[in-house]
Amino acid sequence: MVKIEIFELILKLIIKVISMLKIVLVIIIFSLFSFSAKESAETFKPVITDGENLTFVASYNMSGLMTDIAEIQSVTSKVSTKTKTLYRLKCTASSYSKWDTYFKIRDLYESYITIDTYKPVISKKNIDEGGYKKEVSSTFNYSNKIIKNKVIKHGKEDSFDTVFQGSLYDLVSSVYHIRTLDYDKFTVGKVIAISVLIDGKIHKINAKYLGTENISVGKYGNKKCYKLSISVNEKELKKAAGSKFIWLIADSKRVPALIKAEIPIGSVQVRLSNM
Amino acid sequence: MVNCYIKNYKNMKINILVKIVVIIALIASLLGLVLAFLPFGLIALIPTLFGFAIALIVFFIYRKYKLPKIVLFISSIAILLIAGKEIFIKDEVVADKAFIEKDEASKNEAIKELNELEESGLLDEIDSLDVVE
Repeated sequence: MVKIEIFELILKLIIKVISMLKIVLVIIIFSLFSFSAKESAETFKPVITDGENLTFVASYNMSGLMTDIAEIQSVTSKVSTKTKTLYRLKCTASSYSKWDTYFKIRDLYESYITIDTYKPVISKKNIDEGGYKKEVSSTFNYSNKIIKNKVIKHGKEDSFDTVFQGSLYDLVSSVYHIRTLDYDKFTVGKVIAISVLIDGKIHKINAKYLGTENISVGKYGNKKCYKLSISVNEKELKKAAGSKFIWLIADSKRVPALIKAEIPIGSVQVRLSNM
Repeated sequence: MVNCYIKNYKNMKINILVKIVVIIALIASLLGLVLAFLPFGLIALIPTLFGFAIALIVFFIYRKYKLPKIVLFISSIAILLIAGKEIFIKDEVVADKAFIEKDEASKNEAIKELNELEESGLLDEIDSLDVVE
């Protein structure tokens, strides 16, 4: 009886960690691919390069002891239509084989963006998390400012439109925007607001610049990084520091080096392992 | 007679306390062992070392009890298992053919959709938008 209770507790903990991983994945996609640029003077030169391949390791941390859960890959490539070429920003999350028996994750996020303007044209999400499957496809129409969404969940298909105004990015393309900002011109405490489309709904995400910090980036040694605090609502923004942070390497590529998100027991972190 | 009664009462209280502490250590060690079998990595060390430390203290102070020895044995197995898994088992993602196919299919589907958008002139309209709004 006690064993069953212990096993249930462990399962609950696994599910909690996996659900936090989703949030971290959202943050990493957010910091790897799109954001709406309102301050042209603060926009850095483009960092999107064809063939960029970044690998991250997602871990659960408790009292300084870590266990690796999944690998996240971010790949940038070009795709061509009959006359045009676009960037395909792909982000995948795959659980390590040791976790596959208990909770297998195979998530695929894609964004097709224009090369010159970084505007998303098609956004796709196809997730499989422990048997929970969901597909979301969004097509942006900039002439009438309408996004056509198609959601497939539990085998049921649902279609709906989302109306938008101003600049809007999808999850994946938003990360690139954050990397294009010129943080050297920012003052500490500056807040950047971004409208992000997640599952057909528009969310306001705030990134607060907290200055620079030197952190260890695995085999690449110590790197100077820009530190940002990410908040998804006003309550989190009002907190002094928040509980979700991103460190971007302070060079021309602005690659995310570390992402941390605190949870009630321990924390989830995503660290750069290869670039 | 009274002194003897008080002494027995105190011993009984100590016995109960020691048993409670050792049972807690036993539960921690068993939890550590369960976690050691699961892919929790070094996190399994937290309950294991807790159980091990308590059992070791009780073992040195009250050698008459057998339970601390059992706890030490369970903890040792868990520690060996955790260390072995950390040293010899490398984290890797299994090549998933279905996932690769899903990726390819999604890309082809998107290109097809992009071609349709291009034919309807929507891609040209995006290019004519300002870089920064």
